[in-house]
Amino acid sequence: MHDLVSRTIEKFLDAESVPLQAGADMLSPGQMLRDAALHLGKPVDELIEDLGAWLVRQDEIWRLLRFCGRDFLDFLLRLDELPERIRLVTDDLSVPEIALSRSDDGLLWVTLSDGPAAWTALLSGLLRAMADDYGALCVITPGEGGLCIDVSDSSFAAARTFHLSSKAHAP
Amino acid sequence: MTHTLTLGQDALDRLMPMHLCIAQCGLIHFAGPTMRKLMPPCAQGVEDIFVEAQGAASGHVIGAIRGAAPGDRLALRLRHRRQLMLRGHVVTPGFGGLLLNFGFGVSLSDAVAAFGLTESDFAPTELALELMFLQEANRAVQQELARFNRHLMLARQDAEREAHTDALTGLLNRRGLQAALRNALDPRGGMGGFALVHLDLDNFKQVNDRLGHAAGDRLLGDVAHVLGRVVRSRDHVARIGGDEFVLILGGSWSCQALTAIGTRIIRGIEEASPEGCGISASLGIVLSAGYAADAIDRMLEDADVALYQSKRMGKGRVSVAPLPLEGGPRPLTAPR
Repeated sequence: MHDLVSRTIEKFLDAESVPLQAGADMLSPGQMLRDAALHLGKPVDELIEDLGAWLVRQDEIWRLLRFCGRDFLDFLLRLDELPERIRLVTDDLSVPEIALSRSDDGLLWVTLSDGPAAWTALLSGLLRAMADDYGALCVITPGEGGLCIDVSDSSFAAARTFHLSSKAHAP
Repeated sequence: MTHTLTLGQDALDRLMPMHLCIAQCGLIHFAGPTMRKLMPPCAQGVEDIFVEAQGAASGHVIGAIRGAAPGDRLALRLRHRRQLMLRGHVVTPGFGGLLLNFGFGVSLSDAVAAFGLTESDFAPTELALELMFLQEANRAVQQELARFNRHLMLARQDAEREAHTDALTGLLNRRGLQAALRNALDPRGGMGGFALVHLDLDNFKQVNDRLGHAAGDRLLGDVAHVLGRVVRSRDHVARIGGDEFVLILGGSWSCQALTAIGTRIIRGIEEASPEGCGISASLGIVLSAGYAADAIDRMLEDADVALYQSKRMGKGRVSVAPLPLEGGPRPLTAPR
């Protein structure tokens, strides 16, 4: 699975036009990202957010994500299933647990347990892209150990069409 | 104590979107919303929807439903999409009719594709979406793994080729020659006889001494070209050190044919000689007939003996060793 993570980051950096140094595949994913952030002159958290958004643009991953909720709110409210879903596919990737809570003012708080801070940045980029994909309007603010999400309009625009079957077209 | 429950059709629809309520005769009373998507528009009875999974003749579906014992699993195929098999069970709710409920089982993704089903066609308790999620996730991971494997295989092939190749000339090296000889001597996959030619350049030291090592390397490359022109695609050419080359020529050979080909090689090498260096080649040849499959070293030694016979006879010539167990090598001087 380490290979898959490294390959994902390689493909992402390639899409970002970051030249890969020889032997880069021997580096840890974190080191690859830190080197690339230095090269691009942007904070590493920002690059990891971009990675989260880029993941959503990969067709296979996009489809898997859209299986996780029928609209953006549903997706958010089932976000705590995500680590378990990842474990369904592979059990040698350690993913932090995700906890959800809603405050009285309707804000949704997403807390990641014990994970490296990179997970928060990754999730933040991924959620922004998914909100776009579902046509929802929201503000995502990183906070202490998690994210605060304010969904102001969950059907602001039309969602990208998604069929359960990858073979199906509109009936 | 038993409980009795009355459910409205709306509740039934949400709990079991694939239910079907029929009379004892098979006439359809009503069906859940997902089941209605699978039914032909004017379906009257169960025979219009299903055929028996085992492919029995029409008329037996209701028999199979009525004959199912409590706890039995019903397996029925859709009449108009026979590749889709539904599995379900039947209960008698007490009003005289029969209540059936179905699921897709392993036909799930085909059914979702065929009928354009969505999340709302499944009850929240069903694992339909999780199953499809897993199926797609597995496919994606497997494709990546297959890519890794291909990558590893190509890298291994490259490494193997490199380990068997002489970097200067692109010919086989000693290790590559050993592998080629093992194959050639293998009675199962072998070439059905071959000639082993051991070739050593004459006066090569002169080139290195007078013109430098770069010229020597160039000459070795030229010799490789000469040898490459003589052999056919299933033959092998190796450089096994300095100015020593070995050829494996597949097929049965006569001494005359070998002498002719050896002479062509010598002429070619002499033509490639730098001005005034008098480069030529001495050849020793053995035939594979009479050697056992594990006699690689002996064969090479015998070719070496034949080669030195050529050297002793005055260089620039071909010696073909007699078959093993006979006398010493028989020198055949190349016509000058």
